[in-house]
Amino acid sequence: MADRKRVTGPEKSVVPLLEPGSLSAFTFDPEKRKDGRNIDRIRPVFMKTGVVRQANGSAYLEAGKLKVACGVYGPRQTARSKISSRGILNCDFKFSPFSGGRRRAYIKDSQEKEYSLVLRQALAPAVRLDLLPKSTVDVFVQVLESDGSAACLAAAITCAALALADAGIEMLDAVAACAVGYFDSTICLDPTDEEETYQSGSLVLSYMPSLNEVTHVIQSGEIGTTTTIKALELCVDACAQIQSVMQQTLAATIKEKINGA
Amino acid sequence: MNDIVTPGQRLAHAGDYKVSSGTYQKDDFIYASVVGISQILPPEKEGESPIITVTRHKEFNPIPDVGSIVTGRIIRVNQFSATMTIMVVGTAPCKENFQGVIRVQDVRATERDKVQIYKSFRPGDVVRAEVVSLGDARSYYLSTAKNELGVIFAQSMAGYTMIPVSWEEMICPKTKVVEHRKCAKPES
Repeated sequence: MADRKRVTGPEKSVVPLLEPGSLSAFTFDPEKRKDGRNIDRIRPVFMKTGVVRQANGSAYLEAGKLKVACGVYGPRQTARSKISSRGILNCDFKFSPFSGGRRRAYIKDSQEKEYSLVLRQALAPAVRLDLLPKSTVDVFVQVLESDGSAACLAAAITCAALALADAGIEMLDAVAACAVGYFDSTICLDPTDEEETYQSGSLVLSYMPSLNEVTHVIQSGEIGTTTTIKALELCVDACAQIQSVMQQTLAATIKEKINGA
Repeated sequence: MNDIVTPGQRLAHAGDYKVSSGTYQKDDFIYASVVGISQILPPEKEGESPIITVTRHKEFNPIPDVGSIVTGRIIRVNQFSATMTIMVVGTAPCKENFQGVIRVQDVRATERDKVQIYKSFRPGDVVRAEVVSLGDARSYYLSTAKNELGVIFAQSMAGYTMIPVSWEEMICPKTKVVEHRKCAKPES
């Protein structure tokens, strides 16, 4: 009788039999992305404004599986007892508990806190806060379904900028954001969650296409300068594409209003 | 040129038009800063360049600024000031209220030292006032030191809407009780 409390393995162990090519599905091939995109293509993006009725401005953004909603409240009186001649932009980024593979907590974790901060840093240079003394603008971004954390952050920035524009808050430009993933020497635009597990680094660029100005860049991983510059150029092009969708969406809301009235 | 424009859209060269609401100037160009319809208005004076403006497509949450006329309700009074919740800025209703304070020296223009807050406002009165400063951390500073500013609606102790009989008195139509208020001059 063997020791029952000990988990005893088989006496002889063998290497699992693998058919040739059965492991290839687990590697990332930039030439063959799962959704059939080229590496310099973003996911087709859909945007809509006015999705939250009680908010002053709101927007919804969908790109592939990625779904983000944003509500903007204000300008309203600053609750804090701090006086400033400029307005304050408050940003709140939250993943829904059901948004990703692993269930998330309702309390904000460190990643969500970091993204909230990035969101504010990316949007604040574009919002004309000098016109809103003593006031606060609150931006709430909720990720309904996530597909790639860097892409999520980029989508949140774009969606928040769209909601701010919908709220009628004065802005220098509609900020568009875009993410890239580094896979050794290849740069891949808008990586999905699955692709992200193989990446060696990532970059998120927030950009004002009409003014040709960058509001925020965040990069992780160890990447050379030439690759970074190439990635930035890719992002700038993609941001211009995203902004044209934003402009169409905003113009469509007005047209609807004019035709409806 | 009544086009639909979005923030960041380039509208014109800087010298051609005068920048107005909804637009801003950067370097050599004028850009839109809100979503709306761009309009070109004739110049205010002869010889000036025409004005370019973008009107918003939906009503915007107004915020009080120095000089704007606000309407609200008195929520509490003490011997130094009356606290008011601002509900309307200009003609636009606020989605969320702002807090304002009418200090005792800002109630009327003459005999400021003899003003008694209790004889000027009561909680529940609807008051029209002017913003004199952005005030402290909590509230805007308001003033009613003009003829057309002051109480525009008040109820008597008996609960009836009172009628102003002078610039500092109102009468209850039912009980004929005269109460003190800093009344606003009715708009003709």
